[in-house]
Amino acid sequence: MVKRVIGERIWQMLIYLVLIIVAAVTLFPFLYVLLVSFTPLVEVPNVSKSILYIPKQVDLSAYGQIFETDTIPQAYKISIFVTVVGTLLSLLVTVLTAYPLSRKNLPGRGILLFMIVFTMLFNGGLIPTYLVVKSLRLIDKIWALIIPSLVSAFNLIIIKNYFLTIPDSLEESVKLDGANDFVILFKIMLPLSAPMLATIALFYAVGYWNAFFNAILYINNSNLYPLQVVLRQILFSASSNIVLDIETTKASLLTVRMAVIIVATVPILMVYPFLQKYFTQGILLGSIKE
Amino acid sequence: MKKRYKLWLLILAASFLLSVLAGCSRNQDQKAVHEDSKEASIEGRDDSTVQQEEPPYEFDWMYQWIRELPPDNDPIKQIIEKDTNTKFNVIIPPPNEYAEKVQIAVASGDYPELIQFMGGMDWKTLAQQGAFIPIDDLLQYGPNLQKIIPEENWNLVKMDGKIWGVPLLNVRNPVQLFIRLDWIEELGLGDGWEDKLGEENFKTIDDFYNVLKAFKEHKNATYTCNGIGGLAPLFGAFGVMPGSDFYIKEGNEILRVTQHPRMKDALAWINKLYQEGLIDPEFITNKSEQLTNKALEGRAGMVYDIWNLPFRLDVQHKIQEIDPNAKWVRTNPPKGPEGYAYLKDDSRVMDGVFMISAKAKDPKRLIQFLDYLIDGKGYEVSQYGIEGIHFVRKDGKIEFTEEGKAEWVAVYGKMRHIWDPDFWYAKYSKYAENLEDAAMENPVLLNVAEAFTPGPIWKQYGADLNRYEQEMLLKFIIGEEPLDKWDEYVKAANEVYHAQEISEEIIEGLKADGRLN
Repeated sequence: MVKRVIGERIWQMLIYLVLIIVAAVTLFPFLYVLLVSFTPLVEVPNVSKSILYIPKQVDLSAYGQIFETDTIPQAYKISIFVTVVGTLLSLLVTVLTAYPLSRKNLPGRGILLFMIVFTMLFNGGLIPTYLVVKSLRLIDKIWALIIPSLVSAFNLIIIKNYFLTIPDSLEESVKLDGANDFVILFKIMLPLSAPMLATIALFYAVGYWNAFFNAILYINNSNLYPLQVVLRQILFSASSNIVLDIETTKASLLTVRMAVIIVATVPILMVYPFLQKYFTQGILLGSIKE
Repeated sequence: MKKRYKLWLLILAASFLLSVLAGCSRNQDQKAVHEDSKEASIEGRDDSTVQQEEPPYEFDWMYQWIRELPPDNDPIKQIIEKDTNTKFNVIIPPPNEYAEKVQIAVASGDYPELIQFMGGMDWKTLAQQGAFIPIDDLLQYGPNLQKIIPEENWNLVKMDGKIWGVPLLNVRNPVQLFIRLDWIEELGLGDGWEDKLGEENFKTIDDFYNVLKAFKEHKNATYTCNGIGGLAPLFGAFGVMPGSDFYIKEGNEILRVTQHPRMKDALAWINKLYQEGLIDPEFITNKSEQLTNKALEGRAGMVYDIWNLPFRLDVQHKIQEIDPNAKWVRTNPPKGPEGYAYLKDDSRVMDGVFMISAKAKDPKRLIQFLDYLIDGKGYEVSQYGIEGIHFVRKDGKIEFTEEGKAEWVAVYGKMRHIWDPDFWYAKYSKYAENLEDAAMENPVLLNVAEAFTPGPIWKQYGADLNRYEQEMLLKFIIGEEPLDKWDEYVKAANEVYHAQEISEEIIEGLKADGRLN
């Protein structure tokens, strides 16, 4: 009996040890980035040598430089707009598609589902998609960052499966009370699926926040670039050898680049704690009861 | 149920077919319309000899620019537009995805009239497919282009004997070999080095070796660089460069340097340096920040880097706060036993080429536009900005004003990014010496096959051959393979990776393109 407890304890400690190592490995680069962004350029080599080095003074000039020009604040606006509006629209459209598909009496349900799943495996490819977006006159419009990625087939299936877990009898009883389909969806189904919606919302929000390829493809006007595109531009311009006077540009200084990473990551990081409790719960519910 | 499925499939197939058909027919319509308008514009051109009356020529212009973007309604653009009677819309995609963006734009069929292709981007396939036009006949409208762009650069844009684009000029040698002068003096290694900066500090490769050896012994510092290309001055002492598909002309022969006997000598010497720890063991993985850090901390005694390293160390990183004595200066590449000394390869293709769309309404106007930018007032405006606002002249020299120091000012200065004392000294004061020296003095080795047109054999085996060669060069340097295996390596390159046939094909290709006789 005692042995078993000790064995369990060792096992527990091992698990904690592994988890701590994994956490450290993921935290380490982030910490480095954070530290360098606050460090005066002269002391950066010391930080590179040891992460435990505490800089003698805190230097905020890197952050000052970022917000000195309009570029980053402007990109912030675009990114926030795309993330907020995109997530809301995505949720709405996905739910409105998923709910009917979860009703077994929908005619042609099988073929519709097949067509949706099909897009998860095969797609038209880059250039045909570009041509579609172009012919919709979305090029150089902010909506090009939202509409082409409005519905994710994966999220749609998750929502549909979640709706399937809600008993039909519930819907029937509400129907008998005279509710129409929209009332059922918005008053009954959605409140019941709050954890799942929170999870999907997080998926969408992170997706919109991190997206940059759509912007690169569809946006030519630099005033419409979201944060991630600007960030990449600043991060990588220094590593290119084609420029004659590389690294004289303000933006390519190491501290500024690190500060840009912090500025771009922190907002979306702040969303996690609020949604995380739903996050694990929601995924589990969706998958187990499938 | 099964029947219903079939019905659905049928509907699906039918709608798919319809949409495809619709797409096709519309394309045809568009094409027809386009040809009509083209004819119209050609007719229009004939009787519009009175150019002043013409409306401004509107076009999209796509190129790469990695710095601050110009503000809306910037005054420089307005001057250029007025002078050239144009109205252009600049498209500057993010630099990392530039190549993809160009590919997609061209593939979609709706692409800018003037597009910059960077070195390494494949304009040739697209040109063969009809996306761009040859410009031989149009060059008469660009007298300055013809005057200023040297023949070697025109060679790079030739294919099938025709000229396909306007090459951009760049400083061919923006890197330098830097050394700690204070250590040289402290260790008594060189007399009067300071008087002869950038000249012949190293007479021989033994001088070079002895300096590195002393640095290693007394300072525990090495030669550092990023990548195998950073060893270029060491290879250059033997008249070769560590690049694949690099061909040099000797007498009447055109030789692939990776198989050249002198390459073997170079590898033997570099391997010796590496084994003795004189070359930074991390040279292959270093990033540009690591070079700066190593220079700052005194872990490197020699650095091969972009020319403005001293500026970065002094001004940005304040090296004097870390080591008050530290003094980094440029020096010359070592001279090898047969008298060769090269700092770098001659990369003319770096800034690429401007291609003109086959759909351009009036390609002549684009040539005139570029012609304006390359010289005279156009060059001045696009490179320095507006006199009185962005720069002023003092005793014949230009001086940038506070406004002129903004990064975006040179955003239209695409055509001639070469050594220009006015510009660089005004920007960097004394630090520009390093670029002047790099651009004007330090010798570069010409690759006669630079930007060759890939043929079928190269397309099949070329990438594998390059990988194999680079891997083997690296193994020879770090001693993972002994140099006794040189003959085996050449044999494998020829038999397995078709190096011989690739060489023949490339040389034939150069002749066909009109670059070699």
